Amino acid sequence: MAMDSAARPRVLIADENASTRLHVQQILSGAYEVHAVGDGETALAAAREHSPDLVLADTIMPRLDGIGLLRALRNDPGIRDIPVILLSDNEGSRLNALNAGAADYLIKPFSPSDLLVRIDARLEIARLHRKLLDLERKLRPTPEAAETEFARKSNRLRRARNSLQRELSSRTEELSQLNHELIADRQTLLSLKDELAGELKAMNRLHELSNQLLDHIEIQPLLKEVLEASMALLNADFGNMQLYDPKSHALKIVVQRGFEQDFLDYFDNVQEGTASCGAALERRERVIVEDVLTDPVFAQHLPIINAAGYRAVQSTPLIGRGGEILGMISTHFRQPHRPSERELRFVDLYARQAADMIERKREKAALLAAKEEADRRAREAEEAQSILQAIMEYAPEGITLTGGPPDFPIIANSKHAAQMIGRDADTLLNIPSGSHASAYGLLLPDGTRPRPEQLPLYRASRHGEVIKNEEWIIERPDGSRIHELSNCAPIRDSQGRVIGAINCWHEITELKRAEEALRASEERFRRYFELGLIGMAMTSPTKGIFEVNDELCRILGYERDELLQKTWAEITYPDDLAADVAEFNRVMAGEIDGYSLDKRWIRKDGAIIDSIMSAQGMRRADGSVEYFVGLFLDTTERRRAEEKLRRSEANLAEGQRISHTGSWAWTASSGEIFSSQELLRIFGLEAGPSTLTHEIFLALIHPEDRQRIKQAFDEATHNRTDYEADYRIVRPDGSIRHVHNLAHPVFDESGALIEYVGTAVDLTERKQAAELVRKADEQIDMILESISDNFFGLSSDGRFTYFNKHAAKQMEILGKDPAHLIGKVAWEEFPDMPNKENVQRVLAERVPITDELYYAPLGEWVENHMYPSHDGGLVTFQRYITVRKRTEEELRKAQAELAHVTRVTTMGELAASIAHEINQPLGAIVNNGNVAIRIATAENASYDKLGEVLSDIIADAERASAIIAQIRAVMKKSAPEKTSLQLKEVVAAVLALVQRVLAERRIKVRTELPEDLPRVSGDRVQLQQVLLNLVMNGIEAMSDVDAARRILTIGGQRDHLAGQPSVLIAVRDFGNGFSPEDNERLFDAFYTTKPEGIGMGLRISRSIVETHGGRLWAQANANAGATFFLALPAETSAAS
Amino acid sequence: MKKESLVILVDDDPSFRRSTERLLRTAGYAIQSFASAPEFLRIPRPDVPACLVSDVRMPGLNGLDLQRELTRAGWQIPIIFITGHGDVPTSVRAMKAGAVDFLSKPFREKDLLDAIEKALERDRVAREERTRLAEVRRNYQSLTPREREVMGHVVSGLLNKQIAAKLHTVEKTIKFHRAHIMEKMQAESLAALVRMAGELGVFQSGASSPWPKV
Repeated sequence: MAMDSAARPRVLIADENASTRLHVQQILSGAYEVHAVGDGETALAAAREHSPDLVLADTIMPRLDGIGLLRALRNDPGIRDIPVILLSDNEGSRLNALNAGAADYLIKPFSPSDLLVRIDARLEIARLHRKLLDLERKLRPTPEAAETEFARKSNRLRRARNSLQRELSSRTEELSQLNHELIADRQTLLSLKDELAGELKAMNRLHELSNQLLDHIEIQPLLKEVLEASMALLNADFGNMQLYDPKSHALKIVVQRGFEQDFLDYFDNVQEGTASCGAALERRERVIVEDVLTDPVFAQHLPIINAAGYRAVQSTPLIGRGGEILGMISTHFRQPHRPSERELRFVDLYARQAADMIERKREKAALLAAKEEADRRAREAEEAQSILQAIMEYAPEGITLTGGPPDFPIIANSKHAAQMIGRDADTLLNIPSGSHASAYGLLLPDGTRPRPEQLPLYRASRHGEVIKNEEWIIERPDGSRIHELSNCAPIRDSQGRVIGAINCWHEITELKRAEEALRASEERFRRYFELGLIGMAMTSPTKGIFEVNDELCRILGYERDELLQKTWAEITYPDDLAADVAEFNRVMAGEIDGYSLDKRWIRKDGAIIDSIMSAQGMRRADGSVEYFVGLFLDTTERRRAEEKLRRSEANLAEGQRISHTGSWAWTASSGEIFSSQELLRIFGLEAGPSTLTHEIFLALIHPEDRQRIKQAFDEATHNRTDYEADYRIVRPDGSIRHVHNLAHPVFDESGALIEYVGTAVDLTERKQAAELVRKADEQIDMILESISDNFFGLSSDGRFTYFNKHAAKQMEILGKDPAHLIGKVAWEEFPDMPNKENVQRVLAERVPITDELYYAPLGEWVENHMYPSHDGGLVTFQRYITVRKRTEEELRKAQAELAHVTRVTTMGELAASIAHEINQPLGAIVNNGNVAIRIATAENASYDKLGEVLSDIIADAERASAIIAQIRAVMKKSAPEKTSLQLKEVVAAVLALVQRVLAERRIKVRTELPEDLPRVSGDRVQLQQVLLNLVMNGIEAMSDVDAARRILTIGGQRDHLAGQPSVLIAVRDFGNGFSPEDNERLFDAFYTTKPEGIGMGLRISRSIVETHGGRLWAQANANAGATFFLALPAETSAAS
Repeated sequence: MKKESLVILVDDDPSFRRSTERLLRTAGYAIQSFASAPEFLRIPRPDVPACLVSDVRMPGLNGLDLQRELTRAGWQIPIIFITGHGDVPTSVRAMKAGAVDFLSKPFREKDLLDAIEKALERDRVAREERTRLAEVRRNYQSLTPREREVMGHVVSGLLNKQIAAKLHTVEKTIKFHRAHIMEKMQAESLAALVRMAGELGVFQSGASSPWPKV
């Protein structure tokens, strides 16, 4: 019963008239469960109690009429939705009834079918209403849509019902017709029911899709489902979904159903305006094409669309939350068609859902991309970190790094830095830069403690300053000091903010020490220079006179500034210039280191000055002359004295010959003296009496000599002997003369004394000259004594004649008494003398010789300058050069290292072609090896063939080995060794090495090296390096010029270098040449235009050439390119 | 002897050339070798699948130059580069220009043989494609002038009716032509015909291409 009542709709009938009640009950009881009451009140109570599905009420009833019952029901929330059909026998209250909410209004009498149809319809509407409400609850996302739908349907029903009403009221005879309509209406309702069921299903699908979205990032299947759902909803035959690519402004199909590949290819990339989806993209709204044949959008695509087979299409854009188009959902129909509004609204819902999915997916993808980017950055940072670690571990430099602001603390030191600083690496870190001076033992170059703001890292980090080659001292814990050069720079981030600083520094202690030694030596020299006992000058071969001392200014009569403007040639007496130049050139050519000459100069006042000049070339480490030191002894006075002496001697000789000497005769009997004119002149008595007496003479004699002379004369006359005396006279004018007097007695036949006849010679000038010579000698001695070099003289048979103070001291050190050595033969006293042969050669051949030797007893290297002296012996200047020797040795070692590094770098540039050279034979070996295996494992192994293959393998292996040997020969690090070389062969070896590079770059090489080029003496490896460097430079220079211009010429010819035979090699390219500024920098260290070069090549090459006594220079060609010249002295004889 | 094919070797190193020649012969290939690129460029093109094994670094014309020359001459022979010292930029350039592989000497035998197989297969496919195109072209040549005209309109998307109006004839005639065209061109569908038209470049002059502009 309960089931039955639940299954059958319940109808409550309220009518006063019992027969009507019965009649209606009879009509309805077949299909409904009927409850009948007689009045409105009872009906209301029954309705409240049973909640019937429908109420059928008469308008006129006792207690509560039909309209009243209707209102009461509508006011009760529990039963307000029960449909009420009012019955009446007139039209009078129809309007009232419908206004009050009656579902229907029926005029009695009515046909049973009419009643049944109306009740059925009402109940169906009520059921659908409930269902809609139910749906509304379920479809929470779209209550409005459902409500609108419901309202729309209700209106439609109401309209249908109204028309029905009109029909019924006016034309009862067309009732049957009306019935049909009602039935049709009912069918509509039934189909509506199906639609709603479909909608419910669709909504559920949407929910499912939303939930799936939360879990899956793969969007394709979801979009596919959305598409499937849309197609099912719209009963579409085809469909696709596209995504919009903002970069190409095009739609790309991502999922589809029902299309052939042709169609998909055709519409693979749809732009705005193309087809329906393109039109929808352009208009930013849905486009519906009901028939593609008539729509202009499709006019030009008909073949492909016909092939695809659809006639109608709708395209709905997928619009993102920001209003931008994300994609398109299109569905296609085989027949011309327009989807209903309801369907389209659902498509909108799907589209919104799909847009949501795409956006979420893109967000997630963006998140993933961001994470990947972060991971990549982290990896990069890690790599950078490990590179930095390697640098800090292995760089042979001091490197110090700071962290960021505000303190910029020191965060890392390279291993080398910590070693140099000599402190525990941990104590050096995490100190704010600026406060690290004491921890690092940093001192300013003058040895004082720096202020924080002076420290390079402080300046770089706080002020962004870039510091280059600044000198600093590091005091290590053991008290030793090292000198270093700092190069410091700020580190900036991409915005240019300073986030740290780096200091790269390297030690220059050795360099400093060498500089110190040089300065000390210069200091000594300077003191000597300024001593002023002798004229001195320093002259550079290129810059002329750059230093003179006061004595030289005095000698030449110029102010210092004037003299510095002069050239030697200008102030040299012309006749003496040639001899000086010849000697000068010999020094420049390296034959001798110094020379001495008698040389005349022109004083400022025009006077001729005689001098002994001694010039000494001071050489650089490479042997070239840096400057000359000249010593000048003014011998003008001495020469004048010598000349006067000569003249007086001549006068004397002449006087003796023709009686021009003063002569006199003293007559014994009278005591009278006869005197010549000359004698009177000597005595200053020209104007006096012609007869003189002995007393007069005596009176003129200098008082100190007078007594002695009187006595000597008396003695001579008494003993009748010859008389000879030197004395001074005081002339009447007061001047003093030295006189030499000689007289013979004259006797008569009886032997009695008659007279004395004598001569008187005025010796004054001679005396004075002798005095001058003595003074000059003293001066020379004084100079020699003050020279800091050892100086000693030997006689022609090798005996010591002289030592200066220093030499004497050296002899004492060697355990000899210098006083006893004078007169002893040098090589007998010193049997271990290493340069005995040179000493004897100077004595025998009369040539100056300079030698350098190590004298073990002294523990010093000495340099001897030996010159033949005028007395047939020699003089030696000896100088200690141990310090210079050691510096030279170290320099040579450093240069050899550097040369090797440069050589290896140059070879590195050749690496690619060398690898190719070696891999050729290796490739062939591997191939032949494989063939050999195949032959050996074949069934009918051919041993003849195998032998042939193996021979080839051996030949290729030998070839590879020869190539490696060739490279090793250039790369090897060995002490330079001079041998006799033919440059043509050296060039050939270098060309063999670069042959492949030349071939690849299509560079032609022309060598013009005559067969008879003189040989040179040199180190093969070093000269190969120089030529390799020049050839590589030429190749590089022509890397981007026309193929026709790529010609490298290597020419050679005989030439002269500093007056000596030499070989000149010219390497000429047709590259881009260089500018005059470049020319000056070409040979600078670290100057390079090559990306991989270290810029040492030419610098090293030049120093190699200079140690070979040659020259290396460059010159831009007039037309194109550059030429490098290499000049080397020709080998002179087999001995050298 | 492997299927009908030819390997061409260009390398300036005689010893390497001899060993590679020997290796490939032992492995069953027909091989022709040349000491320089110009020597090779003078020979007639072989009419069997072929590939080129060439050194990159050679005096005169190098490997990349040769590749460029071949492209200019329209000889699409697959290239395998070998080199004594391969730097990355050179290999990238070679691969970008379409090289099959880039091997460094010395290489494993298998690497070379694999690369050669790949190259020969590529040439084989290319040759077939060229043959097919030649057939399409031949088919097109067999159409009458009227049929070619109709085909031009068909592939431009006009309906039979529209074509008939344009050519002042009746729809039935056009249908008749259309059937002939499909048969002669051996086209299974309109789409196939449109594709052939694209390959032949014979869209009705004046009509815009049906392909969307990308």
